[in-house]
Amino acid sequence: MEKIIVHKITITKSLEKILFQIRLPDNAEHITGIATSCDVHFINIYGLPKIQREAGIIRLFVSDTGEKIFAQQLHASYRIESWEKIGEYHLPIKPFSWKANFSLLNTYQPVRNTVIDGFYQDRTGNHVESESGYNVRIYLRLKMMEP
Amino acid sequence: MAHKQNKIIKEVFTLEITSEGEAHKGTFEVDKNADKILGVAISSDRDDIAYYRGSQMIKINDEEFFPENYESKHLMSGLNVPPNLRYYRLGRIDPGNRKVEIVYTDSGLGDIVAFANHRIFLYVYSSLIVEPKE
Repeated sequence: MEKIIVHKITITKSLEKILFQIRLPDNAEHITGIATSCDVHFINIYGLPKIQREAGIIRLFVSDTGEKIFAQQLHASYRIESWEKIGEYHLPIKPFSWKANFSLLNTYQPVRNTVIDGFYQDRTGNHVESESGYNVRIYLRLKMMEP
Repeated sequence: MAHKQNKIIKEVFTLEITSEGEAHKGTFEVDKNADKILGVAISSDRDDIAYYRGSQMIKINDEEFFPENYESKHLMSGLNVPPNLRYYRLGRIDPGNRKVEIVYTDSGLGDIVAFANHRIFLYVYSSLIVEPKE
């Protein structure tokens, strides 16, 4: 049996560093997938090349041992019309099969502790289009113990 | 209204989103002729708002299939996707009490796209009960 949990953190300041914890269900057996997503976008100036910009760095650790299980550099995308983006986007068939601004790690990490520690550091500088902040979401796909 | 074709029932449920940064809840019932629920999809009359700001929790038969904060964009698909593939396959789920519950949340971080009243369409695909031949 599979379960997906989502943890959301909100970044409101440039270069902000956030420590957070994700609590897993008690009957979680393995983490089978980790994915991250952020909704930070840069202003698209017509005529200039669209280079990939860094949004931040995220790291996940097992709480008691400090063992690092995931590290990812998140990238922001340029804002484009949604129909255009959806047009080049994904097939919503399987979890964690999406492309574009959504990264996936297939893993088989046993759950020995139901708390995952996380650290996120914003690296957008002053280039963020949003003034009210942005969200980073961590998706964990879990294999649950059979009842 | 449910549309039945090729033994697949396609149903559309509509949720009116009228306020910014808040959760909107809707509970719907799938067709009584539905045997198994095959998949779901999300769409909107303002897909830019749903794409950039929306997230939702979806429960079927009181079982949570998409948790809170699951972004709407991961359940949307574009026009270049073949129509037969435009939904998220859940497997063949027993509809149980036939209740589908959605809690849609507008993120409220509004600099990417400004909020406007819009509607969210939840598509539910189910297989039709096949009557045994006499």
